[in-house]
Amino acid sequence: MLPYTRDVYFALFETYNAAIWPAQIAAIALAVLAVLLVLRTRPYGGRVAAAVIAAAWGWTGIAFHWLTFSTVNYLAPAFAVLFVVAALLFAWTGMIRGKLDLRFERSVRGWSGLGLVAAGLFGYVLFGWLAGSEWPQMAFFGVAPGPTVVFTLGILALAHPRVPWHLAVIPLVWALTGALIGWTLDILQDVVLLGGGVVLFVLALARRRN
Amino acid sequence: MKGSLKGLTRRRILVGGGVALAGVYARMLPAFAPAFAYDTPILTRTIPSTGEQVPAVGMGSWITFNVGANETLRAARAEVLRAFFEAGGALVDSSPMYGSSEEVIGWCLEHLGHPPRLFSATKVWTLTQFMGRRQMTASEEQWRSGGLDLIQIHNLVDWEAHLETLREWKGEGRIRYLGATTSHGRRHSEMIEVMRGNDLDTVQFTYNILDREAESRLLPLAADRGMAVIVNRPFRRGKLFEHVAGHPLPEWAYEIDCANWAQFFLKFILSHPTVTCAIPATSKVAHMRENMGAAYGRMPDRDLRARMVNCVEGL
Ligand SMILES: NC(=O)c1ccc[n+]([C@@H]2O[C@H](COP(=O)([O-])OP(=O)(O)OC[C@H]3O[C@@H](n4cnc5c(N)ncnc54)[C@H](OP(=O)(O)O)[C@@H]3O)[C@@H](O)[C@H]2O)c1
Repeated sequence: MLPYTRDVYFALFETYNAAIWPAQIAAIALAVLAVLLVLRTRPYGGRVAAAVIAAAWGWTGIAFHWLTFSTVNYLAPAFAVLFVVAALLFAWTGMIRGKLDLRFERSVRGWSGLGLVAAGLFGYVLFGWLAGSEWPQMAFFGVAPGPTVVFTLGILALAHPRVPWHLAVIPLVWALTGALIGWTLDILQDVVLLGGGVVLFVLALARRRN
Repeated sequence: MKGSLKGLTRRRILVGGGVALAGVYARMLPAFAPAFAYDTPILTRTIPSTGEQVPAVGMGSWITFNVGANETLRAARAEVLRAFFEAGGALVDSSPMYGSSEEVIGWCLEHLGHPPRLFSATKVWTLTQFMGRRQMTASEEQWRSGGLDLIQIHNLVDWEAHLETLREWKGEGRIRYLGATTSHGRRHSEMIEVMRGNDLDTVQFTYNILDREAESRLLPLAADRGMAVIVNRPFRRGKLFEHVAGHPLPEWAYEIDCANWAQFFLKFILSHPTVTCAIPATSKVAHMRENMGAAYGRMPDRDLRARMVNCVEGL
């Protein structure tokens, strides 16, 4: 059982987004840059994408979970640790060791990956806008868990020749947790984007294996 | 809790903010049924270890007061707390586990000008004595009430370590009471062991019209050991309302001055002779007024209690 309600959750986002503005724009701009590098098959595309993802998970772990969400949820410090571990894994594997080779192919997997990337970057904003929410109540890539996770799954779907599973475990676990929380609080975008994200990610990989 | 309870009557509650509500009640009730037992004082119960009287309906704060820093939500909770004090309430229960609740309560208390009747009850919920001391000191600051009345060991977490601190603090006059809590079905045996071997002023556990496990061992033991009983989850976290949804209140409920299901559920609890205080949680002023109404008027006797159980179990 969650210790807070939907109203409180959105109010929290309002305060948080106002406090960190314009970090949201910077995060999305960096992510778009990383995606363009990957699409143009630049050799350092993987390193840049890993760096952006590491920064996004690190920021979300510390600024969102540790400093903000922990005021209403006693589990948030544990979530923060999880996010920082994910950030370190991406930094080590992708950024430092350069082991994240990302390629876009015109295949089910490629398009699924790109779809998830777009959903992570713009899906939450679109959902919020359609639902008539004010911008400060929305979740943004790089600074909030939901969109950051969906974007990460999208990038991982582009990994070549196979997905480094040690990088995928935490995003998948969080996506399922987030979808469940979304279900409990009746937050449609979390259910659709996180739940759907996991399904699309797994299906895309299964298709590739076949 | 420094103020007097005198002068708090049903009429004052109605006049003090429930006039509209009274109109609604009046329309809901059959013509023969009195809406309330007018001018009766609020029901109070004695804390056995000191003889101090506390109003029999307090309030909880799990989820309901965990609203973070948002000032609009905080102001709305301040109104809930205002309705609580206007209706004669005193005991406010919280815990460091409830996110921002303690801090929000502190903010609301300040906003309301520190109602003198407050009986502050919080908990310690962490491992090790060192962390417990830090947590309790933080709670003192967050409540902004110049000291806490009662600290309870939440779910018996590291209870031996914290009990030592609580005894010390009580000895120094830093708190007035110490206690321990658990909830429904969880760790009842351990709670019994703790109650048997230790000098607790209060115990807190779950008891409601459908969860009556406490009747067999915990309540009799509390009576034997002279411990005040604070009842949590009186509405089974709100699920009792879902259970009776669509069913009208039985007409005989008006014989014990119940105007709604909330009062029906609470009066069942309060009419147990060992219960000191029930602590329903709400985020709404209207619900708070309903809940506080249970501390007024007639209470069910043994036969009626059995009938109440049959009625709810039969729905
Ligand atoms: N181990 C422990 O120490 C422990 C464990 C459990 C609980 N507790 C304490 O006990 C308190 C009470 O338990 P609880 O909060 O779990 O559950 P509860 O009081 O049984 O139920 C709370 C729910 O009932 C609803 N409600 C309240 N008054 C109502 C009314 N008049 N009409 C309709 N709905 C009403 C509330 O919703 P609205 O906001 O919409 O009114 C809320 O959802 C807690 O807040 C906490 O302080 C302690």
